[in-house]
Amino acid sequence: MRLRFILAILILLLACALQFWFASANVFINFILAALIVFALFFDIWELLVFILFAVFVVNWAPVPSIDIFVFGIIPIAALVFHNVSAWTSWTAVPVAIICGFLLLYLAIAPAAFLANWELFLVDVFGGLVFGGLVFLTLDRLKG
Amino acid sequence: MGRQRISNNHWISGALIVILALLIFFAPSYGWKIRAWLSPSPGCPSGSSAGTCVSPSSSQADGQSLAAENDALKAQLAQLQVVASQLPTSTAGEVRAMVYSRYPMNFRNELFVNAGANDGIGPGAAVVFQGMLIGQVRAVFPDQAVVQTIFDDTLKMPVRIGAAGADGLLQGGSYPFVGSIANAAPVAPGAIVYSAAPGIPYALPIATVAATSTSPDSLFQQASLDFPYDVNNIQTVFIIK
Repeated sequence: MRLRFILAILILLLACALQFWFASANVFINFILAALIVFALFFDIWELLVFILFAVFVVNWAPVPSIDIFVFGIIPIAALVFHNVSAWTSWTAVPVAIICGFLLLYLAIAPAAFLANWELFLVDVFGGLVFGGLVFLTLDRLKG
Repeated sequence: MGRQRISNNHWISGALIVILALLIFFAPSYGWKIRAWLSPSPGCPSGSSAGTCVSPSSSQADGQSLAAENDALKAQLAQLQVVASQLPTSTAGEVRAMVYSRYPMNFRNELFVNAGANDGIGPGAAVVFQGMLIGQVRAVFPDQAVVQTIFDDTLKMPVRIGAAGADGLLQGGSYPFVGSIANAAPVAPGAIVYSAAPGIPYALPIATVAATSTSPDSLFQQASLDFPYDVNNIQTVFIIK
């Protein structure tokens, strides 16, 4: 349990590094959000809140968290609620949760930009799916 | 025993939540430092480790600790010189500001700088980098400000082009362009695009015209732009009060 928690923190740091490295090349992929959504399938609300707040702490770019960061933090919690309500534990839950989570993020924060730039959304989702899948496989193996 | 362990885990998680919440609201600068540590340094060659600008091959050269330390110091000096080269002397009416962080997702293109209301900065102030207009102040805090750059999708700004001063509308985005240029206006590649918006000093250079084309509705010309800088490498800016 503790090992999984520490591993998740390392995965989150890796997601942060990847997101910032890609952003420096003008490619924006929400690796951090993908990781948090996958974490919702493995951790309880308390641990998930720790991960979310750590991500917000690193990603937050202004002295006071904005509505964008609030939406960013709510989505993994929504994924946890959905996971608990539906009890959907198979690996197919990961891509569905990530696609829905990303869609919710775009529609909540910048619906006009989303409608005008489909390709950016698709690149973001693709990167999130690949990274989220790897995170799921890693945590699932540890659970086994 | 299991229930006790779960209870202990909840206490630990609760404590971490409180600590992180306090850091987010009262000490966000530590988060920016972690972010800076995780981000690639601007101007470093590819393959360099984040925050050090030292390539793996040079750090392993000679295998001697002093030579390695010498190389690391040279690299750090080069990194500081990159920043120093972006620090022109200030003039009256301008405030120099360092860039703390950037908007982390692709919905906006904004910078967060370390000058705010206490420095005389107000919303709408022009922000320049090496003499070029790069954006406007969108929001102001006591000691910080948010700058909306011209690479933000929602930015629209009246501009003029070239010696003839053809009117146009700068449309922000990943690839900013100038639209709504009259078909008869003499616009050629290489012409300078400069500011003509209320609240911003007139004739601040923005970019040069890369190519011209006809708008989708064939009513106007539009011009794609060339920029002599990379917005991702900007470390310091000047804000015109």
